[in-house]
Amino acid sequence: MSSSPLVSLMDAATGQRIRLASIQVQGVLRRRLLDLGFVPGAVIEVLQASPLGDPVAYRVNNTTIALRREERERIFGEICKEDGE
Amino acid sequence: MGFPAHTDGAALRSLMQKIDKGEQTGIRDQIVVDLYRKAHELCADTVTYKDRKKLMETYKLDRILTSRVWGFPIMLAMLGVVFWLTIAGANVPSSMLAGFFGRIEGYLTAAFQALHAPDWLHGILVLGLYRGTSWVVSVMLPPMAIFFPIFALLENFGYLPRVAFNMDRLFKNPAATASRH
Amino acid sequence: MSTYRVALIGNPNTGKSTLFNALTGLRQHTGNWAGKTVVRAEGEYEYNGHTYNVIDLPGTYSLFSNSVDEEVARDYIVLDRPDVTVIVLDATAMERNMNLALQVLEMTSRAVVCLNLIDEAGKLGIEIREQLLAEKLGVPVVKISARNKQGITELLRQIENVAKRRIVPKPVQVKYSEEIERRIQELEPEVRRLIGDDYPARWIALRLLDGDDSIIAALERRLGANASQTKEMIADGLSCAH
Repeated sequence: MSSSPLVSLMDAATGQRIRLASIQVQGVLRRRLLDLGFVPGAVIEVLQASPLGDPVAYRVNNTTIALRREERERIFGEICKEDGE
Repeated sequence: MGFPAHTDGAALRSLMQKIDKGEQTGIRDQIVVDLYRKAHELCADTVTYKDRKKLMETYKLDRILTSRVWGFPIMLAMLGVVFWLTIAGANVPSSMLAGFFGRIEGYLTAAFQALHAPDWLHGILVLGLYRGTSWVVSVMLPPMAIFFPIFALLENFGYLPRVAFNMDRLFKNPAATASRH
Repeated sequence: MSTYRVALIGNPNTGKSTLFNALTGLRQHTGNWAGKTVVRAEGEYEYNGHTYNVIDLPGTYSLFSNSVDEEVARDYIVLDRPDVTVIVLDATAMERNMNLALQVLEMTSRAVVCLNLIDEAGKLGIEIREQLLAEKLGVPVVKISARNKQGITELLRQIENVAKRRIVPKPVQVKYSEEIERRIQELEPEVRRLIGDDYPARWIALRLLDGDDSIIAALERRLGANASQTKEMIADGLSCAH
């Protein structure tokens, strides 16, 4: 597997899957995100953006979680190439 | 029961103080990562998904309910239907209740007359208190009895979180970026 | 006839309250946790001639004291030590729920895992091998549907088994990175010496490592309530610490 460059969740398109690398959010929100499964190494899927574009829904551990822009900007990972599965 | 005599919170605290503060965040992260790794490993061994498509079906519905094109129209339509049901649906029971209370008021008046109660007493109790209360009840009760169950139903179907997802930005902006939750 | 204390814990929206209602029926009352604005729901039921006091802990995603809810739930399990802790998992979102289960199993060995919404999971084509899961977790696992009152009898039976110590679970312990494990090994004997065997030493060592001092504060509060003599010691310790 070639390691692709790190991008923030802002740069991931709907339908793409991302392997998380680092979470730059601090404080309680950071811990909340970790608890929900936004942990380095986890693969999450971009489900879709809200009609107004801002919160975007992600699938983590078979659960839908919506993140706002402030959070998405600070979460980084690499986009998974579409292969089988 | 109880603590051993030598239990000492301060000693625990000093134990903790030996650990570097900056390091602790890293440790917490590693702990959560390891917990999730173990959770995934356990699930991979014991949980099988026979039908991936079925799992995705709920997402399909979400895609429509929160889509750029349909999200808001569906929301407004739902709200419209809820209000229409509340208002139109409440009309009939409201007038039935009003009629029912009206008939009782007739009996009450007759009873007061039979007892030769003074006019002012009849005025306060029947024309004032009773009529006022029964009017409020007959106007308020039916809409509430319709509106709240419908909303509870929407909540049960999980539609309300979708509404929050659709509208989040509208409510967030005035508060700027200052606070969350 | 004896009375046992049973705590229900789980993620939000796992049907934990439905289970609580199914277990206790009308024999329940709600109040608040002392000094907190968190609802405390308690109830009881009888099984095989014994009374079980059930407490419905607030629904949480984890037990890292990120919120008052999590602190309340954590303190109850660690400090009040119920006879049985029932971990309610949503069978349709196992990974996320398992995370909490593993955390609870670090705090107490007297637990029963209960897979709720099993009917829902079946409809979604999710199959869970509960026997294997029970082996791997080291605690009894019961499939239920609280809504349809399915599997409740089996759950009651397993709760009884653990309460009466007919079954003494040996729950799985998460193995952390080498570095963390090494430091736990350093800390654990010291912690055990300080607090005795009544409290989960490994878990407390972990909390020392990740800097969660709220559990120490909670221990101290409990301590103060238990022995006024040690209270002075703590006060001394606190003034030293600052």
